[in-house]
Amino acid sequence: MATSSQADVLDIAHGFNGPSTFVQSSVLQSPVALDADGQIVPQLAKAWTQPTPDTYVFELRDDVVFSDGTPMTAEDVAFSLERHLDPAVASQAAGLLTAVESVRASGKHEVTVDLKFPTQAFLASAPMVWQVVPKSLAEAHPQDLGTPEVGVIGTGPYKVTKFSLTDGIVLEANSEYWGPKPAIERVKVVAITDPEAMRLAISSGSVDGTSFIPPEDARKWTDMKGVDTRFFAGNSIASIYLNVQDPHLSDVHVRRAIAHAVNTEAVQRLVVGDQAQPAQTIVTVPQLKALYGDDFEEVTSDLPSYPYDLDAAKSELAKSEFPDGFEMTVNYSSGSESADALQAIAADLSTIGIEVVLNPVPDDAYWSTLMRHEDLTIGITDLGYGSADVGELLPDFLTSTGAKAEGFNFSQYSTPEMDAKVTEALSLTGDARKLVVTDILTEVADQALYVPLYSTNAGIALNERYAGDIGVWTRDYFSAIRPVDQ
Amino acid sequence: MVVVKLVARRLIAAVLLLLVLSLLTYALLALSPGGPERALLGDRPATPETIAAIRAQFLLDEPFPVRYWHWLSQALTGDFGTSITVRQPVISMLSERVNVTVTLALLAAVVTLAVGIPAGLAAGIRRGGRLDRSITLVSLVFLSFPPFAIALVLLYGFAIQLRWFPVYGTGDLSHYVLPAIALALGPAAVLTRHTRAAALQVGEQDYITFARARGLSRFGIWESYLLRNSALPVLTIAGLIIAGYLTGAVFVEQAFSLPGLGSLLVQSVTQKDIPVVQALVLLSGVVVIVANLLVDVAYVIVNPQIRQGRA
Repeated sequence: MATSSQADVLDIAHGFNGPSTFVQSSVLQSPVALDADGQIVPQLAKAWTQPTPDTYVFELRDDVVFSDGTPMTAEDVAFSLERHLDPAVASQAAGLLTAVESVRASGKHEVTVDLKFPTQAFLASAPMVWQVVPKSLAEAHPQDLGTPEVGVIGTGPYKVTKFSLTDGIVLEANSEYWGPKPAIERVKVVAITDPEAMRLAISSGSVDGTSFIPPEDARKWTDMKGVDTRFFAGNSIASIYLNVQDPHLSDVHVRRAIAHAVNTEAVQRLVVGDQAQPAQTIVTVPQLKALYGDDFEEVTSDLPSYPYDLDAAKSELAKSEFPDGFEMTVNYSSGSESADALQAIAADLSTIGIEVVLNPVPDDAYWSTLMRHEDLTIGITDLGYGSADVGELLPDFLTSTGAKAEGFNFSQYSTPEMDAKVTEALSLTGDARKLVVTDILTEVADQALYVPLYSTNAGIALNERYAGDIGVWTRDYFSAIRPVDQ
Repeated sequence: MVVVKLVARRLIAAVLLLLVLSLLTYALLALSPGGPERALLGDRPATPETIAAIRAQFLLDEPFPVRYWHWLSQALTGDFGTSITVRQPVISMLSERVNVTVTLALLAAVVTLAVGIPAGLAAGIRRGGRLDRSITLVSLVFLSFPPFAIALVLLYGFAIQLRWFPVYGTGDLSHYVLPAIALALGPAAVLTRHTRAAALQVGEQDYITFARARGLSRFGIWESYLLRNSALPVLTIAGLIIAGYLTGAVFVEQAFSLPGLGSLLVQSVTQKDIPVVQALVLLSGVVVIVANLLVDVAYVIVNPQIRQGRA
C-alpha cells in the first residue's frame, strides 16, 4: 500500500496526519470504534455507561493483550488518554480533548472519564485519539513514542515489524490479537510523493493500493486497467470564510452580496473537478447524515441560501453601506490549487463593484499569517474531520475559542450567544440536538459567515486481485482488504 | 609538500566557511515567515497549553543569538539535535538517507564521466564532421530537457512498459539505474561540451602538430598530450557536477520516490525543521568544499607546472 508522504510518527500525539493515522489505525485501538455508519461501537471496551451527563464509565474486555504478550490493564487504558492532557507531551490531539477533566482506572477492568462539561464530542473523538498503548512505554517516551527509534506496541490486528522513514513500514498480523485474524498476513506501506509516479506504481502492479488519490486526477485513476478505483463522500468541507471583523465584510449585506456572486460550481470544478458534492451548509455530508438521517437534505434545503445570481448580488450590495462597491485585498498561497478559483471569484465580484486585489504569498508565509488570523478578508479553506459528530466541527467554525490564533474560525464571528448554543448542541442528544444544530446552521446561513462550497470525495484504489468494504468511516484499511480468491 | 600546504590552508578556510554558512542558514530560516509550529501542531486546532509547551521546548520565544548559540554549542559536541517534525535524531535521519544519495550520485557520476568525456573528445577531434554535429545536437537536446521530465519518460518507458526496472523506492542497484540516468543526462551534456571545447583548444596547439609531425601514433598523442592537457577544465566541471549530485537531486528523487537528502532538505525547509536543515546545509557545504579540494589536488597531480609552483 502506498501513502502520499511518509508516515512519520506512529502515535497520534505527534503523528496526527493522514499517512501516519493510516498506519496507526491497524496497530493501535481504542476502547470504542466507528462502525460502517459512523456510529460509536465497543472495541477494547465491552460496554460503557454514562451515569451522569459528564461521566463515562468504560467496562474493558479482559482478554486483550498487547502484541508483545503483556495483558492490557485499566492503567494502560487510562494513561493512554491522560497523557494527551499533559502539556509536557504537547499532544496534537489535545485540542479534541479539552472537555476531559480527569481519567482513572476505577476497577480491574474499568476506566472512568470525568468531563468538565457534558459533550457528545468526547465519545465521538475517542476512536481517533484514545489509542491504547502500554503505560510503561508511553511514560518512558513522552516525546518520541512511535518514532523509528522507539517504535510502538498496540493491541490491534497488526504489529509493526519494520519502521524506517526511508524504506517504509512493514506490518505483520499480530498473533496475540484478540479479534479475528486479518486476511492479509503482511503489509508493506511505502511513500510515493509524486502523484503521477504513484499512479504509475499502482498501474504497473508494483503497489496494490492507496487511499491517497488527488481528486482532480480522478479520471486518470478510474480509467486504469486492472485497478478498481472508487470514490465516496468524504468527511471534509470546503468553504469561503468572510471575516466579519473586516470593515467592509462586517456589513451583512456585503456578505450576502458576495455569497450570491460566487459561482460555487465553478469554484469546485477549478479546484477539485468532478469528485465532490456541492455543499448546502458548513457541516460535512457524513456528519449531517449521522445527525439528521438520510433525509438531511430536507433540513439543509430549508436553510437561507444564496444561489449564484449577480442581479441579486447587486441589489444586496445596494442595501449595504457600500452601494458603489469597494476594494479588498485577498492573500492567497501562491502554490495552492485555489489560486484559479480566487481569480474566478474576483472576476465575479468585480461585476458587482467589489474589486479584489489578489496578493500571492509564499506558502509558509500564507499559512502562518492565516493561523495568526492576520490580514483576513475572504479565502477558501478545506477542512477534514475524523468523526461523525457535528460536535467536532461546530466549535472550529463558530466559537470564540476557534476565533483565537491557531483556531479555525476564520469568519471571526464570536458571540456569547453562539458560544452558548454550540455548548448546548454538544451536550444534547436526539431531537433536541437536531433543533439546536438547525438553529445554529440557520444563523450561520442568515449571517452569511461562510459560503459553503463542496465536500471532496475520498477515494480508494485497489489492484483487482484485492477487494475490501471501504467507506468514509473505515479506519483499519488493512484488515478491511482481502485477496479476491479468498 | 605543495599538496600538504594546500590541504592545510583549505581546511582552515573550510571551518570558517562552515561557521558562516551555519549562521547564515539559521538567520535566513529565522527571518523567513512562519515557524515550525504548523508541523508540530498537526492538522487540528491546538490548545494554548500545547502551543506554549512547544514554544518553550523548542526555544521559539528566545532571541535569535540564544537559539543559534544553543544549536552551535550542541553541534560542536557532535550533537545535531532531534528533528522537530519526526522526532528522530538528525544524525540517524541523515545516515539512513546518505546511502541513497551517495549510491545515486556515484552511479550518476559514472554515467556522466563515461558518456561525457568520450563523447566530448570524439566530437572535439573530428571537429565539424558528422559525428561532431550529431554529438552536439544530442547534447543540446539533453541539456534542454529538465531532469524530472526525463525521469517520467524513463519511468514510463523502461519501468512501466518494458518492466526492466522497478517503479519506485530503494533496494538493489537496479532501483538506481533510471534515476541515475535521468540525473546524469543533462550534466553529461554539459561535460561533453566542455570536453569538446578543451579538446579543440588543445588540438590546435603547436605541440600536437609537432607530435603528429614526429610520426607519433594517434594513441600516443592522445595519451601523452591530448588527455592530460585537456583534463584541467574537465576536472573542474566534473568536480562541481558530482558535488551537485550529492546535494541537488530533488526532482529526480521525487519522481522515483527515492528518500534521499535532496527531498529531505526541501521538506525540512518547508516545515522549518531547523536542526535538519542546518545539518543538511553543513553536509552540503562539506561536500562542496571536499569536492573542490579533491579537484585542486588532482590539478596538482595532473599538471606538473602547478606542482612546481610555476603556474
